[in-house]
Amino acid sequence: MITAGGLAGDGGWRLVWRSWVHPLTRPGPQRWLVVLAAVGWVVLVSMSISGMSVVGMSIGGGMAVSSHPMVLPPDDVGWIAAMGTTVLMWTAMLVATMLPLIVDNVRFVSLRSTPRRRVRATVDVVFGWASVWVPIVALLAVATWVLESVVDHAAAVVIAFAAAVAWEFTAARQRAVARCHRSFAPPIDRRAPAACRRFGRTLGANCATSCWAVMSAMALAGHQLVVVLPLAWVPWYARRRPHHDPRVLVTASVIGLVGLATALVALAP
Amino acid sequence: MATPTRRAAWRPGPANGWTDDFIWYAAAINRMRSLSPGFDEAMPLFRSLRSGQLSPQEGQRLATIIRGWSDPAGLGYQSQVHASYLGAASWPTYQGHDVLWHECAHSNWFFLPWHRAYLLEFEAVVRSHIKTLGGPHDTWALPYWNYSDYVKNPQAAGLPRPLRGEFLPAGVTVKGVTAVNGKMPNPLFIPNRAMTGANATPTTPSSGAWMDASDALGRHHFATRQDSTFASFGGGYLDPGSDFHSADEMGMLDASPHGATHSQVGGNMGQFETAALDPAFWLHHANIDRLWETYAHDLQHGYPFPPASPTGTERTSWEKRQFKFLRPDGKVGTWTPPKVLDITKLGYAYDTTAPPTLVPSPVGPPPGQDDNPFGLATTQRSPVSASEPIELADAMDVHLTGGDDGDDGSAFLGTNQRWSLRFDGVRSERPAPTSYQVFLGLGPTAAADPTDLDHFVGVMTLFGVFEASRDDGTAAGTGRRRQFDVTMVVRAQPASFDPLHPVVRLVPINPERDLLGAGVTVEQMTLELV
Repeated sequence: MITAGGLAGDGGWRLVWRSWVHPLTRPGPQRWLVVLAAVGWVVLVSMSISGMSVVGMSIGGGMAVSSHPMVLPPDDVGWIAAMGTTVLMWTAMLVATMLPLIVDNVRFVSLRSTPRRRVRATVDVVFGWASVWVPIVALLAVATWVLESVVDHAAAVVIAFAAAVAWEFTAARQRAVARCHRSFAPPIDRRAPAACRRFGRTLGANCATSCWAVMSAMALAGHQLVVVLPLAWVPWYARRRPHHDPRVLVTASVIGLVGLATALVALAP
Repeated sequence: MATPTRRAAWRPGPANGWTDDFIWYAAAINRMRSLSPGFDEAMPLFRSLRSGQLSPQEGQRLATIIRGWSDPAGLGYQSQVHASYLGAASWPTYQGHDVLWHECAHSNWFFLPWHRAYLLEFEAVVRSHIKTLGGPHDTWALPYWNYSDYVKNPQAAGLPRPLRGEFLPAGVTVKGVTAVNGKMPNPLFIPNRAMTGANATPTTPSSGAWMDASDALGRHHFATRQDSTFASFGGGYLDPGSDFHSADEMGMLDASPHGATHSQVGGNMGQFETAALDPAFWLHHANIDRLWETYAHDLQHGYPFPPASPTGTERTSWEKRQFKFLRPDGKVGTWTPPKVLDITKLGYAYDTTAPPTLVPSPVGPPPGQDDNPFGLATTQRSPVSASEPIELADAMDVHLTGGDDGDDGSAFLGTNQRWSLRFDGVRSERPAPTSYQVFLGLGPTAAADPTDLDHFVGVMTLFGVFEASRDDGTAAGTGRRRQFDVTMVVRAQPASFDPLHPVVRLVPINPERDLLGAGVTVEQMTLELV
């Protein structure tokens, strides 16, 4: 197969390691993001193993089938616990899958800041980024909850994955992916914190625009690890493609296949 | 058989410049243009596109023309290998293969090896045409435009004569060219260059001009690590698997004379997507390739990576990167950086790789703690002063400020410190028609003189800035970064230089061109200390 874009070279796991994991190990004030993301993955894995993330998906157990604890009757799961689980799941997913995507952007801003502001700069950018993502995540959580309230779980899964596949082909998503490569040299005076937060918000807006649909699909699949892993790969891959050749057929196919498998599981008797 | 030797375009020979290598180059280019349907029709459309005046219908027509350039033996195809306006989804196929377009490497350390491979592939195509025409295909080589030799030969700063005229001069016969209205068109001529007519011959070539290679050849390191350390000769290290087009750490040769020459010639040469349509492109890049030989061999900097150097991600990145080219026979040629380092094995030579006369340049002192063989150390810098955003057109002074009230700038000045001047968020609304000379620490009434090495920093190219400024999904939209090592300039002004309040003067090399129309802006300039 001909591979364009000068992207060939190392192959397989070695390429994955060198091009994806190795850059995350760079020294610098941004390292706490990597640690936080790792914690996010630990939480996701734990929840996936313990079944917390798939409350209601215990197929055949007589339970309501849902990825949302809050959809279930209060008798099954207390509201507070349900909300807590929902918040925990979304937070873990955001931190585990989205935070590593901005490590390079954050590192650049911190290294272009004055030495005494470098750590603070990382916090400001991430704060700005989160200030966009958090309300969007809340909105998505409500939207997926409503969706599952009006249609059954399998239908909700199909709708969410279909939306995610369709979103891959939009110009808005492609523009947002390109913008995710933005860098920023902050002012070096007292305007720096506000400027870093502003850059973080821009980053968050582009990040959310490119990935909201995939995040919703992950949530409706119950944050299951087997679903989260391939879907988390999609934005990683998209960010490494040349802008002129985004290979959306590849990313859309992955989302579609995962969606199909998830829907089949949901429909299984 | 003699090794094909690339020779200087400006050398003793016929007064009109039409040496044998140019005559056969023109014959091959003539065939390559004929294998690119709609080539002539596309020229005014590209011009309209650059000026933002292309209608939707014209845009459709241009896209159709470009899609027709599917034959790798054609000039249209070869130009799109460098870059294309078309997204990959609408590229054509050739003999069942997807074409391999938009592959150019800029602003990273693959700039030189990728372009060397590109030249080799192009030269092979030209030779095949020369063979078909019954010419000296086994000894022919691309001439190179030796503008960087302008000190010894001021003429060399002019566009080579065979590229200039719309028609062939009397007495010059190029095989395959047929008369149009009684005149023989010159295949090496292309319309809309800025460097045309009287402008094809610069009147006062001097240091600090677009064709000077002194600063680049004086760099101590081949590479640099993105977002740390200093400007290098070859460009920024790129992680394995990273996309060429997202890189943004320009090597000094990539900047000037490479980028500055693109802007100086102008027209098609001023943009990635159209540059290689101009036959001047290949002569220009042959010279850039020669300057790499000069740096590696004659100036003894060597190539990355010597066998004894340690393995690691950086070395893997360099050695494993593949450059692929679709050839006229439908096969794919693959190169890696190590494969293109020894030109004796590649089957070509230069008539000379001796360094041009190096004007004293403001290159920093020998490296200290970041003396990694290729500049991959991770020394970090501290910003000391910065500017507000600016709009760039005519000559202007930009004031940087830093520190708090009462801070003493002289406290930053020491004997072992190194200084860097960075430009972030350099954007433009149109391809910029000029490069800028950069000066540091000039007083308000002082003249900007590039021979004044106490203040002259270097040439800032804007080539590639427009491409990186688009916000339509083809780029991040934040423009480009540029940087200069200003250590020696700062050290030359021990009494008068205030790092907390320095002044940067920017002077356009071509003030007569439409600078305002380009809409160039710079988000921030920063003076940094190591």
